[in-house]
Amino acid sequence: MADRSMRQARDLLADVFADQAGEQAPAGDQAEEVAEDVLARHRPPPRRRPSRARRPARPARRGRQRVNVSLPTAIYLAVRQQWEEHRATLPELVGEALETYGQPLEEDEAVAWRRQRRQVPGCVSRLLRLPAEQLDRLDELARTSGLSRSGMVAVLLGQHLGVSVLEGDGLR
Amino acid sequence: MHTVALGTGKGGVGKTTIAANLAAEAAHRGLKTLLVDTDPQSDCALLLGVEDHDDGWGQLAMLKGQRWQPLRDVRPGLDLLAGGASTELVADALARAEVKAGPEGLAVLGEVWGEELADYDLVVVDTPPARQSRPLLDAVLLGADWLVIPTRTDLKSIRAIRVLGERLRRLAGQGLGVSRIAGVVLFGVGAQATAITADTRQFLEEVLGPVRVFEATIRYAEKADRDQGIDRQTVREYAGQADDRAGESAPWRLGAQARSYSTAAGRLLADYQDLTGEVLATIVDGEAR
Repeated sequence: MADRSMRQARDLLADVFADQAGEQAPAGDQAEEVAEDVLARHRPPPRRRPSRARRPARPARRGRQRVNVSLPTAIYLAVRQQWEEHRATLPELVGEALETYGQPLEEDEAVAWRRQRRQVPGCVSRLLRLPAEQLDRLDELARTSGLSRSGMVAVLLGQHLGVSVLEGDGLR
Repeated sequence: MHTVALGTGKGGVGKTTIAANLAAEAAHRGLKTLLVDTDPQSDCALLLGVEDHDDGWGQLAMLKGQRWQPLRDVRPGLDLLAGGASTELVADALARAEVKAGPEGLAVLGEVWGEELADYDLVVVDTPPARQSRPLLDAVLLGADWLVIPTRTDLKSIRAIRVLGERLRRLAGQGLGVSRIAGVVLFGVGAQATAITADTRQFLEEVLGPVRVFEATIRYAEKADRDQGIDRQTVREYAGQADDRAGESAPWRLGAQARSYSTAAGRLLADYQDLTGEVLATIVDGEAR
């Protein structure tokens, strides 16, 4: 009985993921690279394969394997990856972003961002190292944009790293 | 394997803090424990200081029938299946399963957990707020064996529990097996607020009917909460450090690296120990019946 319900669950999920893969528009090239990188870093080690001599010959794969992720996810992953590189210098980076892009979001941008509910992970404690004046300014920006402090940092960094909030085409 | 979900449908009532510390305490007691974070904000990883995680890919891979692995031993005996951006894809898949197969479609999550997580003694699941992902929360309510409901004492939090109770009844009314409520835990209550606590217990019983309200409450300890968040420590680790410092003489307080610890750290740890004991006892009693 349990086996049967498990099989049914697996069949249903296979059906669902086939639909999902069919509907998703392929993301841009850079987004795919990031998604592949994330997958590669966290993929479990491969199972042992039979030796090359026993393996049947297979034509070489052409081009990169496409990974279907939604565009908001791809943008988030792109920001996140660059973010990892800059994590240590967060206060400086946020300071620069504040100086360059420190304007409240337009209402439609704020709504779009809130809908995505993105935050920068692990930034809260580091933000405490920001000079008080910049922290106040960040909080003021967040308040006028209707975002959390962490959400505002995500927006600023997105702008600083060249990722547009609305179009999602800024992976340049 | 026993699955315990922390859920109310409302944010800010201590779900993640309790989930992480309950899981850490269970692991400390020798149970092979997995913490599953179904929230896209991946706050469990944040709280445990895990910076390099898979953003929820593992949960998606598990549903797809692909190979997956948790982050092993984020604390002794505790593995983590992190949340993140990909849990939105999990929620999307569950919503599609519901459209295709009706409410029973949401039960796939529990089926997959039952198969894939069988090696664990205890699986603790942190849930997102309902407004963020209704299908995912419903799937957890169908997939987990037990539900622990954290709440604050304010009316909005208790109203959210009433909504959750209706949601459980609606799912059960469709012939689906839903989580059993292990109990309600009061979170962030003042140690001196005994009258409010007693009043809230009574109110909860009026709202939910005969539901257990755990004797253990998690006290309000702002400094401990903030400091352990910054240092990415569990309550046990923070309390241990505070305890070590308490034995030292005063001059360390005056140095350049001076820091102080919440005086409530030890009592906060005792709260979590008591809660863990009550939750585990409820599971053992309930499943023995």
